[in-house]
Order: sequence, then structure tokens, then C-alpha cells
Amino acid sequence: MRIYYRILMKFVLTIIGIILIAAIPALFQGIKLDVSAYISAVVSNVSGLFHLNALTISHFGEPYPVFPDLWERWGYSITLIFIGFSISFMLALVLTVATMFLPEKARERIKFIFFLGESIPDVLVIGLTMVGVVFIYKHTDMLVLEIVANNGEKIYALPIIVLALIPTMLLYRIMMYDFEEEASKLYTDIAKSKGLTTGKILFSHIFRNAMIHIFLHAKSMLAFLLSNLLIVEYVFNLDGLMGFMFDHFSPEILTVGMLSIFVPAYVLQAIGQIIIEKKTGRQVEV
Amino acid sequence: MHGLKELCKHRLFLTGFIFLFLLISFSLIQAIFFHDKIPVTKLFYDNKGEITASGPFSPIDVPPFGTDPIGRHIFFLLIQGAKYTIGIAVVVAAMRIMISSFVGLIFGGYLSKWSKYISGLLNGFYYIPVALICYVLLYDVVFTPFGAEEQYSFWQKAVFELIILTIVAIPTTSLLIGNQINQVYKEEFISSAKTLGGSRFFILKKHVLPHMKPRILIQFTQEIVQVLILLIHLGFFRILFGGTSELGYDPSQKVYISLSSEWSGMVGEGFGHLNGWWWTFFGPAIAFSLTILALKFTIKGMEDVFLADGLMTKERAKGFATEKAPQAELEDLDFSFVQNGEKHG
Repeated sequence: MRIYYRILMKFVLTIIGIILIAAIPALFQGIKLDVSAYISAVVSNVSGLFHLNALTISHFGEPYPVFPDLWERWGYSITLIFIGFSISFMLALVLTVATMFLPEKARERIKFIFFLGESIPDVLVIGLTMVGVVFIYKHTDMLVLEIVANNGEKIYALPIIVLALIPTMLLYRIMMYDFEEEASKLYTDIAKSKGLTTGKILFSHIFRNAMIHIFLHAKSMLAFLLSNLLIVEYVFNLDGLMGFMFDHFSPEILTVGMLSIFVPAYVLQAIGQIIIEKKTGRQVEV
Repeated sequence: MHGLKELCKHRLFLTGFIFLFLLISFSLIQAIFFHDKIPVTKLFYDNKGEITASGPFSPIDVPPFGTDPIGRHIFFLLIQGAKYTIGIAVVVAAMRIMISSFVGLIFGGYLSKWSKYISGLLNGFYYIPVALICYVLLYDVVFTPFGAEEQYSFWQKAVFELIILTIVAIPTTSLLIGNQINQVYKEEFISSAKTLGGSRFFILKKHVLPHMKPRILIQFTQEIVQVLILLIHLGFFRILFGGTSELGYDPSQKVYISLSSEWSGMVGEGFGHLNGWWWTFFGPAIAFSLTILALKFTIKGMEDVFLADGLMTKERAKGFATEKAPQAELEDLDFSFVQNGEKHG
């Protein structure tokens, strides 16, 4: 039971935290602090959560209801993140397993190349892809991918590529570290001396143990992806949740936006946490 | 701090450190001895003195980074801007680390019982990009719409931005440092010191702080990287250091003003011209990337030297795929038949 109590407590605490964080914009009036405005923003955040349908944004001076349009934006953003993350996870996993079969020297070299790649700011990656697509278009008259979304249409390919690129390298580094850490443990030596092949050890033992560590990094990966998504939605003019929060940043909108990301993500995290704790008997924190 | 000698032998650390050192030196030399003079190439002439081409010129015509729309050489602009951009990042990172270390010390040393609850409350920061929080907080102060009057002076805006960039990271960084300090308090040598009668302050000064010093130094460098990335993003959103003024209603004619050639402003400005004058974007973007890379090199060096605990496991992982498991050669001598109660050889 204790684990469910911990999960529930964290859930409640995070929601309180989100309400407090989302009210921060009200704390600053220009460059002055305004504590009373902050407190009233917290109060209106809480009451706003109970009257979601009354939530409006100002659209050309007219009040405009936030729901149910927000769900479509939310779905779009979540789809981009989900596909982007899945692709980068698969790629990183394949690359990690492939490099684990290589000899030490080659492995170090590949790791260094990814270390360089990981340091590239996402903005440069976006610039390079856009110039690349335009370059291809100019020389072959063929628009491989849609660069900018017009009139709220949904484009997927380019944003997902940009979203997945740097997280792949980040995940690769994390995975390599965990895989090597596991490979250096004693049970690997025992398995080896019993005559198991490298591939067998990798897939049936190291993989499983390393996955637990990697799962614990999922939250920071999500934070990184969200920050990338903000830039991607801004640059490609996508009509997603991040762009919506960017354009209409009132405390209520920020609360709703953050909660709509937090709740589904936390459900997945909690499921993972329960599985890991049941399987290993260790307490982990997500 | 021990390990400085090893650090000087670390190739990656040296590469990164020398790059940063040269970049900042050049920037300062340019400011002090050349009064921030930027070479200008507006037009190309042939030998008869007739105009053959007009700018902005690409890196092919004017190496290494081309010129901006008013003919200034981007390379020299970047050198000029380096001291501001890196300076802002270092100042913000230093303030973040000083405040967070102090808060973390109290938190890790005295409030560790509450750590569960506090980390739960701060968990929300994972679900919103820092750049978005900064944008929201800075927008009203920094952005002056077309036709509106400037509400704040340059220095008011600059100081406000420094404060905002600092405080957005305080909760998470404090928690990080607090948890690290809490870990140190759980080490065996701390309980030994306690048993021997060391007072709280004595243990803090003699055992905890020396242990934390390299970690805080690494965290400081990491914060510099974080601030640089944040600056790029904010530059993208036209939140420029020292204020953004909108000059004109038409989006294509908007001009944004920032501190002279501060990099993040150049990135944002250059991105608008990506399809025509791509070099005005890639120049500053590459400058950012190289600086971040150099900082990461120094971080890697410090991690390798100061936090060498993981070295053993790394050594063991080296031969994972190639090395065979140690196998003993079996010889007749090792075994003997005991079935008949008599021994052979």
C-alpha cells in the first residue's frame, strides 16, 4: 500500500505546485512585486479548475472559450512528443546495442561523435533542416517536406524529425552509460564464464536492468522535449498546446496547459514505477 | 582543490578552456585597443572604381562569416558580442549557484525530512519549459510595442532580466545541490566524525564543503551552458537583453534593438533572413554551438578528474564485447580419481 500512498501524495503535491508556479506571472507587475495579485491569481487558478468551460481567452478583443478547442491542440502536441520520443528511443536503443558489439576503441570514438552532436543547440538543428529542405526544393523543384504550417493545418514529418534528433543523442549517451555500467557488474562475468554469448547476455540481462535506470531519466527527457517542442511550434507556426500557452499566457491557461501534460505523463510514470518496484523490490523515485 | 595538475593534462579540458580564454581575450582586446571597431564592406568595386556587387555578402565573398545587412563583418560582430553573451551567462550562473548553494545547504543539512514534500511541490517545473516561464515574466518589461513609450531604462531592464534568469532556476538547482549535500551527510566518514564529537558546523566546514566544491564547480559550468541555451531561445522569441523595441507595424519591417551585437539578438534577427542571407543566422548560431561545446569539454574534463569514482567500473566495461571470459586451462594434475581410494600421479 505504501507505494500507492507515495504516488498519490506526489500527484497531489505536484498539482499544488503547478497551481503555485502558474500564478507566478501575476507576482510581477512590470518590475514590481505584487503579492496580493499573486494570491488572488492562485485563488482564481483553483476556482478556474472547477469551471473549465467558463475559461476564455481574448481573441481580437472578444472572449473566446478555451475548451473544447484546447483538446485538439493538446492532442497534436502530445502526438508530436509521443512519436518523436518513440523514434528517438528506438534509434538510440538500436545504436546502443550495435555499439556494444564493437571493440573498445571504436566505441569510444562513436561516443565522442554523439557527445559533439548532443551539444548542438536545437535552434541550429532547426535552421539546418529548414535550409536543407529549401536547398533540395531549389535544386530539384521537389518539396520533400512541408516547412511551415498555414491556416492551422497539421504537419508532422519535419517537426518530428527536429524533435527526435537531439533527444536521440542524449538518450544514446544515457543508454551507453547504463549499458556499460551493467556490463561491468559481476553477474555479467558470471554469465560469460558460464559460456553465454555477448548477444544473449546483452538482451536477456543487461537490457532489462539498464531499462530501469533509463526509465528514471524519462522525466528529464520529457522536460527537454517540451522545451524543444516550444521552439518547434514557434518556428513552424504549429497550432499546438505550447504555442497556445506562448500566445495566451494567463495563470489559468498555464495551469490548464501544465496539468494537461502532467497528468497523462504521471500516469505512465506511476505505472512504470509500480512495475519496477514490484519486480525489483527496490524503492525508486520518478 | 587537488587535481589541477591532472586537469591541465586533460586534452578535452585544455581544448575547451583555451578556446574560451582566447574568445574572451580577443573580445576584450578588441574593445580596449580597437574601441569595438567593426570592419565594413558595403560594396564591391572593380579596378575602374565601378560598383560590381552590393551587400550583404556571403561567407564566400567575405570570409569567414560574411556581412550583415548594413555591411558589418559578422565575424567581428561575434567577437565583439562574445564578452556580453558569455558575461551575462557567467553572471547569471554565478548568482544561481551562490543562492542555490546557500539554500541547498540549509535544505540538505537541516530540512532533509521535508525533502519529499518540497521535491513534490517543485516537480511541476518539469512540465513547463524554462524559456516559456522567462518569456512570460519578461515580456511586459522588455518588449516595447511600436508607438509606445519606453517604460523602463536600459539598466532597469537589464537588471530585471538578470534577476529573472537567476530565480527561475533557483528552486530546481537548490533541490539538486541540497540532495547532493544530503547524500554527503549520509556517508560513513560523516558518522565517524560525528562519533568523534565533531560539531555540526565543524563537520560542515571540514567534511561536507570540501566534498561539495568540485561538484559545485561542475554545476556552475553546467549552469553557464543552461543560461546560454536559454538566451538563444529568448533571442528567438525577441526577448533581447536590455530591451526590445518594435519599430514599425509591418512584421517584415520590424527592427529589434539589443545590446551591441549580443549573440542571442543576432540569432533571432538572423533567423528572419534564413532563406535569403542564411549566414546572418548560422554565424551566431555556430558561435553559440562552439562556446557550448567548449564548456562541455571543460565539464567533461572536470568530471573525469574530480569525480573519478566511476573509473573502476568504466575500466571493467572496456572489454565487454571483445574480451573472453577468463578460462582456466585444465590439466590432468588438477584432478585425480578417488573412486578406488588410491591416488594417481
